[in-house]
Amino acid sequence: MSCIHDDIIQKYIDGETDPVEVSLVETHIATCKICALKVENQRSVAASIKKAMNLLAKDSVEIPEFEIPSGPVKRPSLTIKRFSWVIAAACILLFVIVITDRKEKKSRVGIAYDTDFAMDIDANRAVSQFPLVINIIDADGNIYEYSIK
Amino acid sequence: MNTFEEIYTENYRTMFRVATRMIGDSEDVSDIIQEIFIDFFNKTNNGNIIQHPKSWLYRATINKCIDNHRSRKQYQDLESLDNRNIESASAENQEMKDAIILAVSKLKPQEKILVTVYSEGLSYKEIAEVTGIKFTSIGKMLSRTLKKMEKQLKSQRYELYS
Repeated sequence: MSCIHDDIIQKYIDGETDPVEVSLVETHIATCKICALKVENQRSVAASIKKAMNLLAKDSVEIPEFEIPSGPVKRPSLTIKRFSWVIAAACILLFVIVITDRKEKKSRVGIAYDTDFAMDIDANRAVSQFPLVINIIDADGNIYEYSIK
Repeated sequence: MNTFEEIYTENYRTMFRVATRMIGDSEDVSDIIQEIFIDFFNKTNNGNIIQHPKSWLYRATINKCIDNHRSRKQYQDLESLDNRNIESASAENQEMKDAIILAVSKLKPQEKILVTVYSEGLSYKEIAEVTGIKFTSIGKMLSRTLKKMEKQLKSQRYELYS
């Protein structure tokens, strides 16, 4: 059986090997003194470097209290967002209905009128000499005719 | 799922140590960590889902520390670690620290980050998420980096595993 690669040894000492690899490593180092020594050496190096690296930073770090930032506004949840859209749409719809309804009412109560001349136009006479007829139509559709001479 | 307070308490110390190793023990470290947690708080409060908060926080720590180096326009090498640590260290520890500082300074940037997060006890999966190194390459890269450091330490005649 061939000797174990360094990366597998590293994984083994870090507990990152799967059960098959663990079995392979352990079976091998049981019979191969060189690899068994390599595993021990690599384990020792890793532990010592970790220990030495830990000297570069304080062990006792005080955790300050976290101050909740006041800056960004909390975004509303999706449900609230959807609800706001529904409300907005309802408001727009209501507005449109009210406006349309008002217009219809206006046309119902409004008075329409129509003007015309009471006789055929004679080009030899001045316009002011023709009698004018004004038809006024009320909300119920009744027509009232007024002549102006 | 953990609450923000739990995530904050569980990760603050490790993030602080990682940042200290990268930029030295300065006031900047506290500011960087606070900034990251504020970002994290805002993101989660705005409805963003962070799948792996621990990895996200460590990656942010590393990125912010790199940015901090760049913004200062001078690479603060690990040799220039602040004197407060040095004063408080025993002679034996000091010797070890000096040796490790020099050994780390000889590594490539990615190797420095790798060994920094590895010494914090992160799993290979987390290391891959934080550093962007392929999961399957972690073991290989780690054994190579540790060997490099060992060689460097031996060249300084520092007996690493005495």
